[in-house]
Formats: sequence, structure tokens, C-alpha cells
Amino acid sequence: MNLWRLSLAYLRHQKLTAALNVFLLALGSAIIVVLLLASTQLKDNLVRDAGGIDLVVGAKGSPLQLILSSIYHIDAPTGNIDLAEARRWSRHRLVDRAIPVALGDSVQGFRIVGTSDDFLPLYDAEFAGGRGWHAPMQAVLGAQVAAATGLSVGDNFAGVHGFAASGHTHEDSRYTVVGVLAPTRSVIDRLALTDVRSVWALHGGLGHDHGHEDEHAADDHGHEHEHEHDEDHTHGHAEQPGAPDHDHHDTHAAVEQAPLPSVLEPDFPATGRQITALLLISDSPLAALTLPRLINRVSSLQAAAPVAEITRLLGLIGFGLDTLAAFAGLMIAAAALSVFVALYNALRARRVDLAMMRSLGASRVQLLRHILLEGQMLALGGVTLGLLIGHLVTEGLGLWLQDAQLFHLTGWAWQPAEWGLLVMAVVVGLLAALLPAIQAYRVDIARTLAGE
Amino acid sequence: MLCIRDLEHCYTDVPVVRLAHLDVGAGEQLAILGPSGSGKSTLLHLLAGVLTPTRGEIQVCEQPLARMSEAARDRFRGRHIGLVYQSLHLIAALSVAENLALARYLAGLAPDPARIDDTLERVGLVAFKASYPAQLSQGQRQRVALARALVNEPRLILADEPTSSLDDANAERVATLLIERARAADAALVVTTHDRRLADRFERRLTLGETRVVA
Repeated sequence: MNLWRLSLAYLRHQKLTAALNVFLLALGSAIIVVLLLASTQLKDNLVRDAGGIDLVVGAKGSPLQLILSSIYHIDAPTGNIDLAEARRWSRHRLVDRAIPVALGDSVQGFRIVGTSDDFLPLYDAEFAGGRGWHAPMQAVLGAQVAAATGLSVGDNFAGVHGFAASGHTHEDSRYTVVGVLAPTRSVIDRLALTDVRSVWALHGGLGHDHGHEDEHAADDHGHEHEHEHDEDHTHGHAEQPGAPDHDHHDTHAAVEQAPLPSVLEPDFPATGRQITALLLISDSPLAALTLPRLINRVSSLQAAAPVAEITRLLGLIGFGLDTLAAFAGLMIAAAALSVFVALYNALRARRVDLAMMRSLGASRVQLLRHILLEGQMLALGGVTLGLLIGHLVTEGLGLWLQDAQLFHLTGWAWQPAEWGLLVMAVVVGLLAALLPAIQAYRVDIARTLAGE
Repeated sequence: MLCIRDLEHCYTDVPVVRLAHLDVGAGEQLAILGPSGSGKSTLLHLLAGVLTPTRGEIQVCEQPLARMSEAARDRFRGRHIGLVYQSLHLIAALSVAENLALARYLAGLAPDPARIDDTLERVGLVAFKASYPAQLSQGQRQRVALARALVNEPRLILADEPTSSLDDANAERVATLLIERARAADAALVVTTHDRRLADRFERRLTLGETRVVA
């Protein structure tokens, strides 16, 4: 027998009350744990997926949409931009690296991104097999794409027009898988990468917008560029140096031993070519401040900073999270009150027990500790259960979201703030048990035992 | 063992207990008699060190109870004085054996399952060691309370009306156990009672209000 077992015996004696209190605390803290894990991991995911990109230059429209479509690949693009104009900004003195992005097709719901070799290092992506593309119509698959489609190096597949799982397939010109990436737990896992030239090969310079998904965005440009589109169709592909012949994309023609030069190189003919967005990386902190203003003012393009948009997005989500957290806090407060009421009521009935314990030799301090311990056990039990439930629920959500291809969420992560929850449990237990414990300390043995 | 000199205890200036002289040696047994309100329970609480007297001296095992600090008195009581209250005050949340274990723990003694079994054996309740007080009869509960008072092998056993709520058979049994166990342990036994069935079994009786020992 010891105080710990004594307190436990009393809790067992009042199973229902104890269970209710533990449950209330567990529920409140589980909600907080889920919010904590989900919001920090969401932020981590967003930051990691931003891959150190400082600016995205694209067609005018919503900056958030531009970021979502060209970095996170979860929204339709705002439209296309002329390669020539994009290239002008890629050579701005504040820009250290520029990476083109051309969108339009997908494979089994995964986006095919036309880009350059510089895209892979953004996410520290490494090859699990194969190599990078050396010619158009060669593709490198992200880990999740490879796993979901079952494609591996040497296989070929047809791109589907648009981002839906089904649609018009480019059956006549198929991609060949030349590389598969190792998992990075970032957006690149869900992408099929190829050279920008592949997208041009299929879409004739990207300028046309027939049946394109992002009609609202394309509308902005559709009319201005109408004549250009026509030109694209007639001579778009023939001009591409190093590009395979449009009519027979056999892989043999594409076997070249060196990576393709970037389409942003000054000697690449840009006439009539369009891309979806341009990703800019700068070592200068000045770039994020001055470039967007400059680009938005002097060109028909818009520039958006991922960090600013993430912050704005999280701010919007954060409001909802704060409300939920406040609600969870309220639940914990209610649970604390419930623990207090339970201990306080029980103490009236236990006054005699406590007096008897005193007459068996217990000191006042022992009784104080006995009641405080009971509060601690309820509070820590509740919060520990809450932590367990919170992590399990988060892991469940993560498994569910994995199917939805949104973002990586795991319950097997520990946030330092969770220590705070445990500290809070100790404080809650202490506060709830303090008054009853002081009453226990003050029990008058003779009067209580004689007052029967 | 128990030694009282010039004891007086008052509630709001009115003396409730007044006792000039009382000695109870080891192995001796004393019944304190008197009608309700004569201060029997108060005297027992004074002897147990639960109350401190307004005046006078109480020594148990040559220790001056009234001059100890409260914490020291709690420890001393747990270790050397076995108490049986009229209302028993068994801990309902604990089993019979746990009630006895609690008495050992609170007195700061080592847990001793063998001794607990032995003590329960002597009051005929070893079969009920895992039972809870609510599952026992009144007579059985009275014997649990007795076992709890005995489990620490006290030098002084104090019992307040230990038989008054029992039928004849149980009263007889409890009285016999109390007297025999105290004698076997060579402990001093003091009971308060207005129950003739119990009082008649004591040779030494003190009737309160008269403040003298009846031979």
C-alpha cells in the first residue's frame, strides 16, 4: 500500500466519474494534438514544397492561384506567358537561377511538368533508378507516381490532356520513362517531370487553348495570342533545335548523351513559345521585395512570392484552427472544472476516511499529497490518453490524405508543444485538486470522527 | 503503559472530562463506563492523542502525548495505539486486506502480507481478505476494524463502543477477541461502553463523572 495505490483505489471506487473526467480531458487534448501536428506539418510541407523558390512569375490572376498551380500543383494555372518575356526576367541581375514550368497534361491524375534539369535539385531529389532526360518525350517519375502507375524505367506512357484522370490521350506520342526518383516527401513525389520541349511537342508551343482546363485563365490571353497560336501549329516544332521529329517520337531518335540545354539560354529561339510559369531563385533578400513590384508594374506578367502566399494562406486557415483550438481549450477547462467538482464532492463523503487515516498515523501533508495525487492521476491520465488518441487520429488522417494525394501527414511525430500539454495537465490537476486537498489537510480528526 | 495526571479538557470553558489520576499497565484492561454525554468518547480521543487536553498530562509508553508536535503524535499513534471506533470507519474503496495494509503504511511500517493474513486469521476473516467492507455483515466489519487496530501490534488498544451495534452472538465474539488479543499481545486495553454485556467482562471499570476507579 502506498499513496499512489490508495489514490488509484479511490478512482476505481468511482469508476464512472473518473472515466468521464479522463474522457473529457482526453478529448480536449486530442483535438489540440491533431491541430498541432496537422498545422505544423502542413506548414512544413508547404515550406518544403516551396523548395527555396523566392518568386514565381506567371500570367496575371490570383497570386495564390499562381503559387498553388505552379509550385504545389493543386490548382489550375492562371494562364501562359511568353518565353521571350520570361527569359528577360530570368536574366535580371537579382536572379540567380530560373526554372521554366510548362503544364497541361497528366498521367493517371499526376501532373506532367515540363521543366529543366534545375528542377530536381530544388527538392534534393535523387534517382532511385535511371537518369535525367536527354531529349524531349523522356520522363522522370516521382516516387509516388511510379508506385501508383507501376511504370518503371524503360516503360512508356501516354499523357492525358488536362489534369483529370481521364480525358483526351496523346496516344500518338508517348513518353518514355528514363528515370524514377527516390521518395522526398515533397510535391515532386507526385509529379512526372520532362523537358519543356516535350510539352511543346504535344501542344505546339503551349500557346493554343483548345479544350484546356484553365479556360478562365486562358481567356486573358487567348484572344491576344490568337494569331500566334496559329503560327505555332504550323511551324512550332520544326524550329526546335535538338527536338525529335514531331511525327515519329521513337526513342531512338531521342538518345542523346548530354542533358538538354535550358530553353532559357539566350540562343534558344523563343518566338511563339510559351510556358506556364517561371520559378526564380535569388540569393539577395532584396529580390523578394523589389522584383514583384517591378514585374507587376512594367510587364503583363505577375510575380508572387511563395512565402508571402503561404503566410497568407496559413493566416486564413489559422483563423479556423484558432477557433478549434479555443474550443478545445474550453473543453479542457470544462474537464478541469469537472475534476474539481468530482474531487470536491467526493471529499465531503471522504472527510471521515481522511480523519480515520489521520488517526491511523497519516500526517496532514500525506493527506494533502493523497488528494493532489488523485487530481494528477486524472489529469495526466486524460492528457496521456488524449496524446495517444491525437497521434492515432493524425496518423489515420495522414493515411487518408495520402490517398487524396494532398500532403504528407504522420501521427508518428512529436511536437515540442506537446510537452506543454503535459505541463498543462499537471497544472490543471493541481488547480482542480488544490482546494479539496487543502480541505483534506485541515480535517479535524476528533470533530469529524465524533460528529457521526 | 498509560498514565494520566490531573487531566482536564474543556469545550468553551465547561469541563467535559476531569480525571485526577489513572494508570493502566501493560496487559491490563479497563472499561470506561458512563451515560451518553459523560465524556467517554472525548476521553478516548484524549488518550489517542487526537485531542490535546486543556490541562494535565497523558503519558503513553512513557511518552508525554500532549507535548509532542502534531506530526510526531500522528506517527506515534499510528505506530503504538490501535483504535476501534464505534462507527468503524473502514475505507470502502479498499478491500479488507488493503484496509490493514493501509494501517501499516500510514504508521510507516513495512508491508507484511504474512502478518496481515495472520491477523485476519485470528479474527476469522482470512477468507474475506479480498472482499470489500460493503460486502460484509456488520459483525464481520466490526472484526475487520478490530484486525486493523491489531495489525501494527500496538502497545495500547482503545475501543469506543465496540459492541453496542451488534447482536448478542457477535457482541460476545468481538468482546472475546478484543480481550484475548490484547492479553496475548500484552497490550493495555481501554474500552468505553454503556453496553453491560461488554462492561461485565472487565474487572477494572471507571465510571465517568465519579472520577475514580472501581475495583
